[in-house]
This record gives sequence, structure tokens and C-alpha cells, in this order.
Amino acid sequence: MSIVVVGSGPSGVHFAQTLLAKGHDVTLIDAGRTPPDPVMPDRGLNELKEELDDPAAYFLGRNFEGVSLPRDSDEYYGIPPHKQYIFDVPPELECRADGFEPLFSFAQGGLAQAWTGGCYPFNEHELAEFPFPAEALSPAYDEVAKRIGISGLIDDLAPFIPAHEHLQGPLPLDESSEILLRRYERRRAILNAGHGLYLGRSRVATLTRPLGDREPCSRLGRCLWGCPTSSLYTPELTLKECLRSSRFRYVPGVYVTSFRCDDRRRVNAVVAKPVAGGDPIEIPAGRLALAAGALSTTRILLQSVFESSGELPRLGGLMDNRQVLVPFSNLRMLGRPFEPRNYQYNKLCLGIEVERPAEYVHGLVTTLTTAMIHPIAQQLPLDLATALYVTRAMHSTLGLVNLNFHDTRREDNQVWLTPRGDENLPRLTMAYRPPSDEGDRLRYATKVLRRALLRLGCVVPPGMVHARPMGSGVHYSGTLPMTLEDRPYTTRPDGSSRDFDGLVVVDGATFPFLPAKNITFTLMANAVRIAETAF
Amino acid sequence: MTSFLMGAAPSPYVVQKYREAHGAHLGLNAQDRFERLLLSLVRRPGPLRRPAAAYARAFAPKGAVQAKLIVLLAILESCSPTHVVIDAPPRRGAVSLALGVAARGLVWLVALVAGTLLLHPVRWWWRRRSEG
Repeated sequence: MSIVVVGSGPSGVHFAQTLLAKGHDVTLIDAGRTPPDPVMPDRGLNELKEELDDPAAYFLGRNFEGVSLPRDSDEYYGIPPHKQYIFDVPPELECRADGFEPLFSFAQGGLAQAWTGGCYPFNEHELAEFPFPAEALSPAYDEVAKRIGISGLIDDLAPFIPAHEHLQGPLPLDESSEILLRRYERRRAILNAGHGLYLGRSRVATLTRPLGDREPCSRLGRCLWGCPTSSLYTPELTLKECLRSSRFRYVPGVYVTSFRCDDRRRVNAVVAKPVAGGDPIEIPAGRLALAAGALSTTRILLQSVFESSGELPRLGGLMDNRQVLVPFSNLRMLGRPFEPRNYQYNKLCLGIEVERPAEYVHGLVTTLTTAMIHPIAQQLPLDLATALYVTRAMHSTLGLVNLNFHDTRREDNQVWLTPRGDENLPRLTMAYRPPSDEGDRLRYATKVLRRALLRLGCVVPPGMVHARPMGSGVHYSGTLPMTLEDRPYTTRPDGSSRDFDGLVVVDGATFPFLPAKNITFTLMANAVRIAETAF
Repeated sequence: MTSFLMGAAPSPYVVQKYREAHGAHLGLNAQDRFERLLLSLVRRPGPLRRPAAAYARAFAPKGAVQAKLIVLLAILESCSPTHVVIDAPPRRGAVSLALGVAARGLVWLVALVAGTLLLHPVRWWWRRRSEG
């Protein structure tokens, strides 16, 4: 019988692709919302402003939903209107969260359709709490790098970011990034020894050489708007590859609510509801792999437990990366124009060494090129005309460091279901509290970064550092951890559930520790590892 | 208001999109008499325009005046030819530009003080009357 995979995010598609390569039949069930066709795929961002009939509709949305107004209380993600489909989920699945602001996706490719491409393998310190040796993941990192194409360089960050095979050359730098890197090279000794700060090239899933039918990045400046040439990898590309296999069956347009099992708790079917509405369907499953993303996978498991036993357990250990945004101004760029045809996401990244290697702080350094500036200008305390003048003058100097912090599993950070007393599914509920030392860690890293940026000729404007709410890191994990201990609601090192036979969990729910890095590359690699070892 | 932001008149496309934005439930309509006054001052070229805009940003940052200006800026930066002006730095050397930024900052400060001295009493008086 076919192996059923739930979800087409990074874990699901790489798990499926590995199984197909091993000769298995795979059925992938997916809500599967698809993006609109790319508009004028060979044009740069500014050319769209000149050549589209109604450019404001493209950039701001038909209902101006892309305009960021000061009264918007939610965290600003800068997601363009035509990428909002990624985050649209039915009202029935709305959750309640305390201290956490989660995002969900029904998109083909999942939340990674909106990722920034960061590919940073975990090192042996960061994998110390995983119940398998770090070397077990190395071949999987190599395999994923070969499939998706990663550009970067082995440089000063190598002690923190292990090398892997199939690394393409790095993306070209813009002028501001180049100035930063040159200054870093001149001041390397003091920055490394005095501040514990290291700077290097980003490793991103963006091509600098052709790979299959994908072309290298042509620097259209449209990364945030959705790479129209597929140079920036997204999981839907792997889904398309899976669709070429005769052993692959794709069931889009439905979302899985639970799975059924027999008296011996062996999984035998999944229950799915059509996204468009209608009666649930049942799909037989000999073996089931949950790859719906940590929170959705947790929801499916909890719902299945509730339906089979009436129990409503609370799962602890919810994790996400705290992110702190540190804007800076590279004063050497003052008065210089920026090149609009450029890679839009980060081309540099940095690491801050701390006492415990696993608690390394990772930062993504983005120098501003093409971007909507009305969200920036309105942040200044000036009237908008003056703010516009200042923003124009400073535009090419502006940059942003997104500092990421590690997280640990703590049992009081829980996810559970709350019955609603109507026909709707019980509501997914979660509560999160940061660790007691978080404030100190954030302050320390921000202080180190401010000082290091000053040495690099950059200033951090006062009052502009912003700690994003938990949940906005979108690196959810930890609710069904892989462990060697035989405990309920955990998974074995091969991702198999200790509670249900025939069930494996292949997404971030199984991570027992969350380093300060983008986890998508490791999600894909771990899914490959599980498919290779458990099937 | 385009002339306030850009020093030039809006194109017909910008006017059309700005009108459409007002039908999009963005809360762009003035809520009270004082907001209408602020709006009329910001719309009209003259010495009170900048003090009114500075006052709106400082004391009514979520009000209709600031929202209208932001929506207008968003439209202007989305289309040609205004995006070219918005994307380019003012044509000056680095030192001259830094001085220009400082000078604009000074003008803003004067405008804010003037706006506060002129408009705060009006706001206080109208609020008192409406409450009384």
C-alpha cells in the first residue's frame, strides 16, 4: 500500500522524493493552494512599476491591503499582496495563543513558499540533544544541497556552519555589503577576539549556476515578491519533480484533520476535509507520515487522540526562534544610489560566539536595495515629507540585521485542543513563556552587535531595535521530540511515533532543540534521513 | 498633498488610485472637526502646511491625515515616474546631503513647535466645548 504523506512543505516533499527514489508508492495529501502566475517574469522590480497597466494593484493589492498603516497592530512581515494566499487558512482552523503569534499555511509548499532561502546546517553542538550522531545527518545535507542548489562560501563562519557538498559559488555583493565585508576583513582580529563576532557570506538556496531547468539568479530585485525565475528554491519545485513519477499520487484541495487507527493503535486511514467545503473523506493509509508543519502535525495528532480515546493531552516543549531586528545605517553609502537590479535578501550573515557553543547567535545581514519605503518613512518621528527626504537620502545606507536566538524545550510551553461545543473541530490552543534569562541574552547580543557595527562604520538608530513576538520566527518545533527515552508523545530517532504504529513524524515537531538558525535546510535533511533509515 | 510630498502635481493615475483607496475601508476619512482642520491645512500650500503635518505625525499618528499621506506615498512609490524620484537619493555629495538632512530636521523641529503652539490650544478648546 502507498505511503501517505501529509503536507507539501520542505519536509514532506523531500521525504516523498526520497521514498520515490527508493521505489515506494507515495500519496501526498495537501491543501495545495497555488500562487498566481508570475507577472512579467523577465522584468526587474522597477520595470514592473513602469510597464504594468495597474502597478499599484500589483504592489499594494486591489484593496490596498499591502499598504502598511500605523494603526495596524499586527507584526509587519512585508508580505506582498499576491503572496498572502500562503497564509490564508479556513476560519475553522483559527487558533488561540497566549504569548505566541503563530502563522499557518495552506499553500502548496507551505510556509517555506515565503522563506528567504537561508541554508545553515546544524553543527555537532547544536545536534547534541538529537538522538543520533551529527554524522548521520551529513549525507542528507549533501543530498538536499544537490537537489535544491545552495550558494555560499566556506569562510570565517565555517566553525559555526558546517561545510557540505554541492555548494555553488556565492551571490555577487551589492556595494553596501561589499563595504561591510572589506571593513570586517581589515578589523577581523578585534571583531573576532574582542567581540566574538564573525562575518561571512550567506548560504542561500539561490542559484549562481544552472541546476536542471533552473537558471541562476538574474538579480531582478523581486525576491520578496516571489522569484519569477525559480532561481530561489521553494518546495513546490520538488513537488513538481515528484509529480513526474508514476509512483506518485497527489491529492490537493483537502486538509487532514485526523487519522484513524485499529484496536491495536495501528494507523489505517486519514480523514481529510475539502478546503472548498463539503463532507470529509477517508483515505486508506498503510503507513502515514505527518509533515504538515510542527503545529498542524500536532493538531492532527491531538485530534486523532481525542477521536480515538476522548483524551485531550497537553504537549509541552513548543519552540521557536526569538528574532530581534537591528536596523543600521552604513554611513559610507550616504548619497550613493543603490543598484535596483540586485538580489534582495541577505547576502551576508554573522555569528556571535557565546560561552555555550549550542547557544551561538546567528544574524542575517540585509542591505536595503529594492523595497517599499512607506513602511520605513512612517517610522521616523518626522512629518511625512521630511521623513521621505530623509529616507531617500539614507536609503542606500540602510540595512537590517535579523538576530536569531536558540530555544529549548520547556514543558510549560504547551499546545493542546480546546473543545468548542459545536460542530467545529476543537480549537488548537497554545501558551508560550520565554526563558527567564532571555532578556539578558538579547541585551548582550544586541550590545555586541551595536559595537561591532560601529567598528564597521555603521550606526544603529536609537529606539529602533525591535524584538519580534514569539511565533514570528516561523521555526515551530519541539512538540513531539525525537528521544531515546520511551515516553508517550515522543518519537524515536527514526521519527516513528511511540503512540501509534505505522506513524512517522518528519517535520520540526520532532526537534528536541532549536538552534539559532533557519531550520528549513535541516527539516529537509532530516526528512531525507528518516526516509533513508526507516523505509 | 502630492505637491507636499513630491513638490509636483499628481498624475491622473495617482489621483484615480488615491480615490480608490478611499473606498477600500482603510479608515481614511477625518473623524472629527479637528482632523478636518488638520486635513485642510495639509492640503493647502502655505506656511501652516508643514506645522500641521508635523503636528499630525506627533500627536495623531494613527489619524486620517497621517494615513492619507502614507497611502499617497505608497501609491507614488508603486508607479512611474514618481518611483524614480523616491528611489534616488537627492543629487548632492555626501557632506552636502548630511547638511541637507540636518537642515530639514531643523525645519521640522521649528514646524513641530509652531504646530504645537498653534494647534494644541485649538484642539483643547474644541474638545472642551464638545465635552461641555
